[in-house]
Amino acid sequence: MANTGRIIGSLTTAISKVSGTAISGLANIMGKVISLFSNTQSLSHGIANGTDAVYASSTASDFQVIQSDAWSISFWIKVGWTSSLNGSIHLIASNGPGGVHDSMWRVFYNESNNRLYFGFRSGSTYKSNNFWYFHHTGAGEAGAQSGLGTSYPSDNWMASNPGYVNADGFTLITITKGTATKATRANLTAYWNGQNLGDAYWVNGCTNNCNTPAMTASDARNFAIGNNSWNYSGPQGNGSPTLYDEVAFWDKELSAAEVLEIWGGAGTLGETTGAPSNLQTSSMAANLIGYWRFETNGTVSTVGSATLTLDGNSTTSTTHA
Amino acid sequence: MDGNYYIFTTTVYDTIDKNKIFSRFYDLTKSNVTLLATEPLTGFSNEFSSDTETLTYIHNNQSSWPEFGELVFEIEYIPAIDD
Repeated sequence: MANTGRIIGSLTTAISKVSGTAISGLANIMGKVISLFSNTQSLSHGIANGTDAVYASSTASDFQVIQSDAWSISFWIKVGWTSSLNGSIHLIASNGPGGVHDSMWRVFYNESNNRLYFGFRSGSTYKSNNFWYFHHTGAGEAGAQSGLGTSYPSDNWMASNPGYVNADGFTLITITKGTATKATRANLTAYWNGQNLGDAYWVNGCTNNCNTPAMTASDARNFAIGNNSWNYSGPQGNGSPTLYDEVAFWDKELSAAEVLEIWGGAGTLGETTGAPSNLQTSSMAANLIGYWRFETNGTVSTVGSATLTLDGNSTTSTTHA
Repeated sequence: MDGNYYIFTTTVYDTIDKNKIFSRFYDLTKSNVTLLATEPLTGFSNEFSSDTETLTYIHNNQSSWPEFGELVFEIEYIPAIDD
């Protein structure tokens, strides 16, 4: 159904009631869910290793992706770390109850090498991963597409060099995976705002002890934002807290057009007009399986059943994407 | 390659054949380097038998090292893009 701009000549934004009932009290009209979307809060992830972890443990039946599934993860991020991080910070991660090697997948930024990684595994030698390095020069490659620049390490991704952001200082990161069982270049795409970040480094995924993973579909899964999902330790930032907003998990390989729909802006390189919209009414809503919005100090997944625990100094923030 | 975990001073590290290094990370002042080598090396400051042992040592010397986190030695050193 196309968006409605006017009702009998009146701007829809000027209408607050329908048949005497405040619009905010209506759940649906003629069976259609009403979308009253606002974004006022994000997740502020503390910087203390372990003690500021954000996680959902053992989500019973959700998020059980395996290596042959297509899936995507999208999230808005306002980085707080500095060049002194010098390690790897997990942005999004998930794993089964058996620990680090059990049906684990993750998105992390390796600050010391200026690389954005995506990988999945079922064992220490049954893993596949790939990365985009942000000082990659050339039109259409990560340095230009992110706006970070190509001087390494001075142009590394950090709070003082955030690259292209929206008007609220947030970047939309999206990683999409197809149905191939390895993290090959052809199977993965990374986006910065609405822009494709160019080729992943490895043509066929990593090369050392990288046998095809055999993830377990029946395992319950942990889910984490801003730290790893198996023991919550390791770098979780430095400098200022990193903010995360509108974290969304999809059971399909999103297309470039669909990523642009999430970005919500004009789609030209470097433009700042992107802003979150209600992904539950997006054209991909049927494929949305997890959705953490952090509104009203909430930790529940609006879709799916993975309610987050926010430890230590991690909290919700009124600075939002 | 398993077991070839070291810490070198950066001065010594700079003399090592980079083809023998699988993964490497500097300390906060870039005066020392911890690495996983593809074969046994000499001239090191410290030698370790596993990634866990290496990371425990680094964790206990936090004033000079950042926290790297588990699996860090899986990150390949690629001279063409890392130097």
